Amino acid sequence: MNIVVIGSSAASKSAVETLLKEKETDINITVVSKDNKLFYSRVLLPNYIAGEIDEEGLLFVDKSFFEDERLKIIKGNVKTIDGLNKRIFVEDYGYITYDKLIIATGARPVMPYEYDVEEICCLRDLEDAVKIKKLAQKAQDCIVLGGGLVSLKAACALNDIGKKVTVLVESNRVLSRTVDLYCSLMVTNILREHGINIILESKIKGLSTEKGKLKGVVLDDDSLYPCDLVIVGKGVKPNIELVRDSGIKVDRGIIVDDNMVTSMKDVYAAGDVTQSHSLLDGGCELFTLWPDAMEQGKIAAYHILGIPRKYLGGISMNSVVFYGVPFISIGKITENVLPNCSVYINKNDEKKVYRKIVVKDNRIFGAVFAGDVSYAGMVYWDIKSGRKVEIPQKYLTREGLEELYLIRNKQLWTF
Amino acid sequence: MGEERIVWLKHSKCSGCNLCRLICSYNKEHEFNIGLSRISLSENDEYGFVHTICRNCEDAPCMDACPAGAIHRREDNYVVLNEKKCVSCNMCVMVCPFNAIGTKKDVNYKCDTCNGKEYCAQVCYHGAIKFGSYRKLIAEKRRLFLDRIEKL
Repeated sequence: MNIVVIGSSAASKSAVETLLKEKETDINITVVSKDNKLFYSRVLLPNYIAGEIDEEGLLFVDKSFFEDERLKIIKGNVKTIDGLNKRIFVEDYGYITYDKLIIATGARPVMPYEYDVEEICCLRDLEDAVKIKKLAQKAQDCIVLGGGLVSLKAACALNDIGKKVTVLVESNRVLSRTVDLYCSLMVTNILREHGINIILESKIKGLSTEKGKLKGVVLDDDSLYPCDLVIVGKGVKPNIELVRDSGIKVDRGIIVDDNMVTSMKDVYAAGDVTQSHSLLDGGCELFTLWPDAMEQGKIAAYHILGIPRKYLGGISMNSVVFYGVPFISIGKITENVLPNCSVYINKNDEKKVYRKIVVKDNRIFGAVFAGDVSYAGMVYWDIKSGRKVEIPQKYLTREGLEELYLIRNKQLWTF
Repeated sequence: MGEERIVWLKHSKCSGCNLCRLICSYNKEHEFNIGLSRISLSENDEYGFVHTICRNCEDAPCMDACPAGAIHRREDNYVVLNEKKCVSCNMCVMVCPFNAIGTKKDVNYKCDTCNGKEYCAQVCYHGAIKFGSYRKLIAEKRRLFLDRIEKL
């Protein structure tokens, strides 16, 4: 069986790994990717900029991964998918026929500004990170546009290597899609304490350039923030251009079912490129998350091998650490996204510990942990499995969580 | 390390003596500090003690969640965390149902059976922690179960 995988990140890796684990079946896997370096972790790029890890450290697979004889890697840009004749066309290579195709092309950053200067970049690929690292050697003032996770991590990385960093956020708080208001304030305070300048509610008018050189960022009130380097972090969008004309059903991403099968026969999609089933509200959402990509790749591979296993559905979640203070948010965490819910909060300003859970119909829909993230995993599985909650207050203290953990383990493992 | 190893925890035999946690932290961190141990212990008046070591989930969620590729399954089927690759992003903590992954500054840690030496099982004189191949442990469990039936 010829299996072709397009892409070379999380979803692709887990699909290939799962397929190769099956020793008996005769399968040939071809990975087609346009990247120069395969299977590196995009999540760790800020750490790379900060100099904590080198290029080798970015790899998330062992060297032995590439040694399998059944795996073939082709560098090239996939141009078209021909579902009728079951083949894809790769630029400068030719046609490759497949029995099963997995599309894991991922997503790319949104770039709302078009300027012909070198000093403006996104942070998604290794090439971007290398460029930022090179530019940062000369730069002094850096500006980061956007208050999302990638932006803030990039800001921290630049701050760590001694740059003057300003973060311009359009909304009234940072991480507005990831954490709730209180955690936003916590993050803002932590970052400001460490010397990062955060300016909220700043509408960007455009960039000011002079003779092909960047001068600075201009805001709506015509104030100019001079800088030598701009990093744009305005979210990502799935790479669906490839499948647009192929007849595969797309919305914002490629639409897949619980087995990661697309609307075309023998074509699967996994990872950031998909729009998949959401566990908590049943809709179809984009999940640009590492664990989801890994799971989706695995599910697609299982379906190819004929092992019945369904995708449970994605949950938006994230974990981040800013200067030693951990934050974890799982599921639906505000009343805006989940009407008629009850919210339970426990905060301790002195110890910088914050816990919040969102309950509706005796079921947890979301949780936020800051400062102390122990037992977050247990709550994650409670959300995922839809476990009944009797006393929500128990989830708010470490002792309560410990007790819950103890009781259920004692009941589970009685022997 | 060829033989497949799994961990078997017997909560009803745990006396809460903390010996396993002391030997664990001494072996891994070179100090007697139960806070740095890979084994956690919770206590409750009603339910007694529950001790936890990484359970080696068959479909380990931490392995999928780790964006650094720091968590992998060793030859003896045990899931281990490579502290050199870990960047302490806490993704594994977020998905671990057993709270078996601890956090230090800049690095996370979990049990790696002390490279097969299994000191905690050696010091546990009640037999609340056991390591072994799946088959052997099941055989033992079956024998204990039969003993119990005979007593009834």
